[in-house]
Amino acid sequence: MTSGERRGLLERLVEGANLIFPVRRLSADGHKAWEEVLARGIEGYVGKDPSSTYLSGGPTRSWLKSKARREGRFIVGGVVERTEGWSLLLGTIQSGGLRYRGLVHFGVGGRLADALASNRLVRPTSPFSERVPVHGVTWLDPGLVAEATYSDVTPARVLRAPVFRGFADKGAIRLT
Amino acid sequence: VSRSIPFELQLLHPTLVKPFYRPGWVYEEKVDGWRLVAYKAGGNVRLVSRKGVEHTARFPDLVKAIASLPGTTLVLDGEVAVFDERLVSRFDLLGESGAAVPTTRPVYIAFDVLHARGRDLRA
Repeated sequence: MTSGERRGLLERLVEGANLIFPVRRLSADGHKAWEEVLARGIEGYVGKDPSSTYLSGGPTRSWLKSKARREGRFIVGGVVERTEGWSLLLGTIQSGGLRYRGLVHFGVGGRLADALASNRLVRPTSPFSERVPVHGVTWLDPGLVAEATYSDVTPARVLRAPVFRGFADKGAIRLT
Repeated sequence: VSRSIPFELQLLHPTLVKPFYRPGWVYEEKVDGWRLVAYKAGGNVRLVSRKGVEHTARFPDLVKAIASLPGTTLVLDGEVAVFDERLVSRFDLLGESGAAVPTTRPVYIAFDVLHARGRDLRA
């Protein structure tokens, strides 16, 4: 069956189902579809050749994705607790110092503070080379690397709408 | 379940390119979620990650929903995701409860069906 035929079957299978939806289709014009991506602030789109099959498996050029959001790795210079949960203070090394790049939502719960304390990363002073516009920060030695996506940067190089994806070293922090 | 769905599943992965337009192609929203394959054999459902790790127990409501889809055998390719109030999928809020940012419950966004009614549909 082709991708297009499978889509038709998929729509029939999940029609009226609870909590299960076929992925949303954008405009059939790729340019208009991209405008929709940007206007709605979604991550990107996946273009598909409706005449292709699923046989090959693995990386394919019958499915092409474009992302509106950029990705990067950042040093975690501190953590802060807010009503909406914990956030990480991100930085990058520039001219030998740690430059502040923004605040990213991490999650809820007290486990992060405990994990960081037991990892002996906590320090009394800021590791950033400039004043950071955040209060109540638990400062960290620059040893932890976070991966984040973001939509853009401000003129001051601070990340817009950053989203935390994970720590670069998966074993760096044990939360359970 | 995999015993009654007789194939080794190798998931397709899209290639990252700049925004493009190819006549005749279709464009789907890229969901910022967790890619999990849904296997259904009768009332038995499994949700399995691309690395083959089972996460069925994390999403009991989705398991129920998939179990009640028509057909005795089914394999769906898709993502588990939560959506914020602007209907944007939010990977960072998946698996959180009690967060201050309101989201939907985890839902399953299906983008392909690989097996149904005892048939391998991939060819």
